[in-house]
Amino acid sequence: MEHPLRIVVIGNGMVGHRFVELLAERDLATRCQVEVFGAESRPAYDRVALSSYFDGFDAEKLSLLPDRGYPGVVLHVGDPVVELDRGSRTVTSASGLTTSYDVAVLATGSRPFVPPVPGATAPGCHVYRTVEDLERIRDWSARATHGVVVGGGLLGLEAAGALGALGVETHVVEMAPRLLPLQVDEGGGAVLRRRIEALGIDVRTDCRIEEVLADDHGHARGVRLAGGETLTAEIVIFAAGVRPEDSLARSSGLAVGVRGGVEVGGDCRTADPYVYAIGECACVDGTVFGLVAPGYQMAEVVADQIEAVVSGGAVEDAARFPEPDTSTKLKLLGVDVASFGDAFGTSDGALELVYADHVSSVYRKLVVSDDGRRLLGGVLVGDTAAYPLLRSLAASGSLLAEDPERLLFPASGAGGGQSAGVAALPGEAIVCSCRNVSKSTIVAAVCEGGCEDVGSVKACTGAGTGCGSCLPMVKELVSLELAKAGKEVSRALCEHFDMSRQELFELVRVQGWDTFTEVVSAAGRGRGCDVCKPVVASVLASQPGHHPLDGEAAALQDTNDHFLANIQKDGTYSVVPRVPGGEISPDGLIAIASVAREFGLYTKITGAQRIDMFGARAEQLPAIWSKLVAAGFESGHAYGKALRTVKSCVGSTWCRYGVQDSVALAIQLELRYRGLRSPHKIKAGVSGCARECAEARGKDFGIIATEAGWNLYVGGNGGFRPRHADLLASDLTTDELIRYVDRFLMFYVRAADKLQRTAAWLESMEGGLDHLRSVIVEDSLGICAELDRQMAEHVASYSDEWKAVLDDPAKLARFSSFVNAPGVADPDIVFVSERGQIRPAGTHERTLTPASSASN
Amino acid sequence: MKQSLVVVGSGSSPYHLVSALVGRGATDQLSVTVVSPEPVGPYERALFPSVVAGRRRAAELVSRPAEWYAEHGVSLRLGLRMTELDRARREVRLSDGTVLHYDRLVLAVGSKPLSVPSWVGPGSAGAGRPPVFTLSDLAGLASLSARAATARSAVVVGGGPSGVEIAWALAARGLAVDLVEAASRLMPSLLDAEAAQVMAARLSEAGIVVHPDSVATGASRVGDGDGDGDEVGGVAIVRRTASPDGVDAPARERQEWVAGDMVVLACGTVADAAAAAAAGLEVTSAGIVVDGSLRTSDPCIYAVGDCTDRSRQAGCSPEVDLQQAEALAAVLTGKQAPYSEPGLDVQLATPGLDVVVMGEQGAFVAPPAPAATATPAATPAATAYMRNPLRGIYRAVTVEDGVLRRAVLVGDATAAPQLRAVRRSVMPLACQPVDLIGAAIGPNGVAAPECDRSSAADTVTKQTANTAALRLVPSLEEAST
Repeated sequence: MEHPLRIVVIGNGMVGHRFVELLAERDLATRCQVEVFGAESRPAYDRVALSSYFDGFDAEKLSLLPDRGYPGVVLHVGDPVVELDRGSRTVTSASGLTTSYDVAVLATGSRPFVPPVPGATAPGCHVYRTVEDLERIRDWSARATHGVVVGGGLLGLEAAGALGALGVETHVVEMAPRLLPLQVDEGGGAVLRRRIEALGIDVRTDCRIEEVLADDHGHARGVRLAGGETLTAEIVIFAAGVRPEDSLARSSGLAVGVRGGVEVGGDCRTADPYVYAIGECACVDGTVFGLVAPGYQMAEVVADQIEAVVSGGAVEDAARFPEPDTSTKLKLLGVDVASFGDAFGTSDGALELVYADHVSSVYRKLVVSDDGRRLLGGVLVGDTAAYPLLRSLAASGSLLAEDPERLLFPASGAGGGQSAGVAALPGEAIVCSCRNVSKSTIVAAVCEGGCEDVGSVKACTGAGTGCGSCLPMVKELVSLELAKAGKEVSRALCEHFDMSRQELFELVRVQGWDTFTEVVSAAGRGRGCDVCKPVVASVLASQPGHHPLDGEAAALQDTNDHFLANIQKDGTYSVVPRVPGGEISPDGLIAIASVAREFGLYTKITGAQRIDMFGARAEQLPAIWSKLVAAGFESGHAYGKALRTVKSCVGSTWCRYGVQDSVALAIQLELRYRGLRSPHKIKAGVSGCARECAEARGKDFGIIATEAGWNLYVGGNGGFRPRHADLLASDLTTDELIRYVDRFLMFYVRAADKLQRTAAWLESMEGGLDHLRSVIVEDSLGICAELDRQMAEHVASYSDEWKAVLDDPAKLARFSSFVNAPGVADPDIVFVSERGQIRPAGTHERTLTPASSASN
Repeated sequence: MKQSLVVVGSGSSPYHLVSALVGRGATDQLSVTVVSPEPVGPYERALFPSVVAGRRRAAELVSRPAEWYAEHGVSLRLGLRMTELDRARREVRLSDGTVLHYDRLVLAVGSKPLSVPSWVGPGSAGAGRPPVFTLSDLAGLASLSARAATARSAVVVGGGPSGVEIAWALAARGLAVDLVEAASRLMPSLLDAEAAQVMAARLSEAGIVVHPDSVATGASRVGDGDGDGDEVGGVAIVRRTASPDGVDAPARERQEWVAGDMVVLACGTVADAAAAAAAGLEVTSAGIVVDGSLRTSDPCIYAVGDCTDRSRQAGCSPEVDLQQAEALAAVLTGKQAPYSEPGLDVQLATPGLDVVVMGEQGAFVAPPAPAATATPAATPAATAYMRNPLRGIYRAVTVEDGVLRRAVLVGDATAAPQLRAVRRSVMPLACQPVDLIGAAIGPNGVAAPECDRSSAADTVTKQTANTAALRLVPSLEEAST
């Protein structure tokens, strides 16, 4: 092409914006010349969430425009196109700007429909479409005590809710016999009405406005209904529908549909090959769509064609607008409503199963084929939990595995309707509609991709990372597939214990067992294995007052805990004294240095802000530690499934930027939680400001200071699968922070699976972060008092385990390299020198020494 | 010297009363005389539909032979009506002229047809029209049964519980049945439109054609149209339909004619309270007024069964007959057990089609239109229902102030015992309506989680279960363990 493709987008609403976004995503925005004209005085904003403006009155929050705008795209705000000259292929805007185009995309949306009744233009009458409309409504409602909303559809009910929140007593007047007439049927409408009325809104159906009445100043004072009744109202909102904004098309000679809308084919192109139409203004094969999802699909269709042109491919290969999915799930004034498929039972022979409950205000209707084998559609009001599964079943057209009556009552019946339903779905059925993930993708992730739990499926496929409502189905699918593959689905520890770590923990805590023998004889079978023994050891170690080397317990440990040190590749051990918060005095440094020198150890500063000493033989450990303990150090638990460290940045004490004293808090926390044994290691960090020098967001619990206090983040980790911690609570006082961390840690200790990091634990928690928050902050399980108490017990009973070893000859006796030759050093340990320190000798560096060589 | 007790009547309630009296050894204190207008002693009427269906013969109706009365010291007077009641002298005059003195009298005279259509002349079959039957007594039952054995079709006039039972029984016998009902749905005082529709669908699957909004105007014979002089019997009906010209336009009427070799009238009954009224006892349109001891306004006269107002309010069901009879037997033998009906509890005698309605009569007819926001304290009555057209099932419960007021089950009554127990415990529901009528209660009868409380409820449930057995068991003693 001689020049870059010139694309003019007429309209900067949600769909017009989406189209530009797609061009940017596909790297077309810079290769084409894109110019956008928006009629409103604001750039694109989320009109679907428009009503949220009334929570906080911050229109900026709705903006869809990225911070940097559209790179390479020229955006004209508040300057609508007034003329489309298809002959010269130019558009002219209100400000007089004329632009040529190679491709014009009409995305002019709709305009609100106001019924032609007398008085409808009086001050006090409003429509409900733009942010400016809502601002005007907010201002006018200050003088209104009563309001009328004309239109009982989605927008009308939102408007009524908004008026109610503004303190206006509201009537909703709907022409049809029921509310939401396009989405719900009569029965659903009746239940919806009960719920809406329970909110204090007066609902009139089968009711028309005949006139808006005005007072002496000409302001709205009420409405007169057909039949004569008048309703007092100082504010009237018309939310009675929209009409496609197709005036440009008409004036430029393009065909429009019978009820309006620019006529286009399945490729969203008008009869003029250079002009497209997308979104609410388009009439695709005779239908105008009032939902944003079909509009987004149309944007994709046109973007595909642009891409094809730019990259030289054939336009015919590009996508066509597929059969749109008109299923909807809404939350309207707190009421869940969903409808899908043939919701009104118009198919030949269709039968309807109904559950209409005016006691609980719930309505469920399923439309099935005449033989009851296929689900065709449905309407749900008040309880839409079954929606994801039902929608999939209806869309896939698969044969139902069981009596459809069981689908009507998902909670009851053996096994529930869910699992059988998921099994019956065909592979192409979409399980996660937010991320468009099919059943076969999830199955492949489990069977071939090695995903064995919901968390990994989420990470691999993206399913469940949108609204999350499909997670129960994903979970069923994972269990089903694992079971089919013969894999162990249960959370049982191993063949010796049928219960999960969590269950075992509770049992041990309640029964007060403190040896493995007690535990396995009472709650398990056999003699145990290298799976359950460390877990039991960890559980026992988590009980207050327990030492990992007590009696039997020592034998349960793997080598790390067995010597309270980390074994290295050459058979030597590392020694890590605790340095709380990473703060160490010069005397402390000197003490550590002299120990390292005396024993010839290699020293390094670790990522956890402390010092590690390497090259110690097992039998040297007590001597090393007795020096460290004498110098005031304690075990750093670098070897255990326990709290490691709480890192800190410099903080407000010294740093120019710090807003809180992060060091003091880190020290306080580390001293509080030291010694806490847990399902897996726990790492933490405290940063004194948003620059986050302590890397707190990569920690199991991380704290970042704010002007007002502390923000608490949980569930992060570094390592093999890095994960950022999520914000649990913000602007906490130190006391609140400590209370929540106490509970978080104790809950984790009690409830997580064996060797499950906090991140994995949170990923697999039903309800996720929200549930965790409700348990910890709102005490939704009623266990906080107990968690607090358990943590207090831990704090009160803490003692340094290395000191305990040094004081106990029985424990000391374990520290030898060879059980049957206690005084003999391991001759295989050989060091060489590097950069002034020791390191283990490589194989080529060893000289053969007889096995009986003396110790070093 | 024993007190004399005279019992007048021949249906279920005197049958159960006498059984209970004998069971309690009342004949030691009382000299009991039973006066029956029929040629046999009192019998269990609830079995009529099974005789109509041809599953049993009239002679197999549960009853007691004359010898039994003799053995137990009960005097039995057959084929006699009470023609006069003299309360001052405590005497009843019988149709043969004899006079019986009573210390205490029990009226168990049942009910009689509410109205007899004008086109039904005297006699069961007149020339020029098919025979017309009613089920008011054994004679009627016998002749109806005999005719049903050879008929190919029948018309049942009246779509209340009785009409539905008779239509179902005749269809079971292989007849083609038309069921004519004046209201716009069957059983209009017991079922709402949805329930009635589900029931009608089941009836039509069984070969019963339902004609709502229709009134029978005459029975006749017409030529069968093949020119050989044969005639076919049938009923002319007039069907009122709403005019398509709008709500205010007068309804249209359409004349139709439905074939039938026999016609059965089931147009409703009314208490046979004429004699009581004539004697000055307190009587309402529902029937003879009785208190919690089943005593009338005369302290020496009791009434029991369909002739009482209480029975009518409770739906005149066999359950009520049994419970009233047992209560009265207790009263008559000196044990004053306070009695109150458990409220409406109707279960149609239609084997293969469950229809159960229980609760307060009139608690609802149609699912109520959503009420305006209630006052904070009270929760107005609201209904929850489910409908499964694939299996022809409908289940509904009405809850008010958290208490179960009413339940309707069509097509599947496995939830009935639990609903009865819940209703009778009269305590607020601990569960949601969905737990009572959801799919957990399936054809296997798997019950939903326990909702009822108190052992009293359990006892009543057991009793109710026992009464089902009683209908087929001749002796009360055998069933009462």
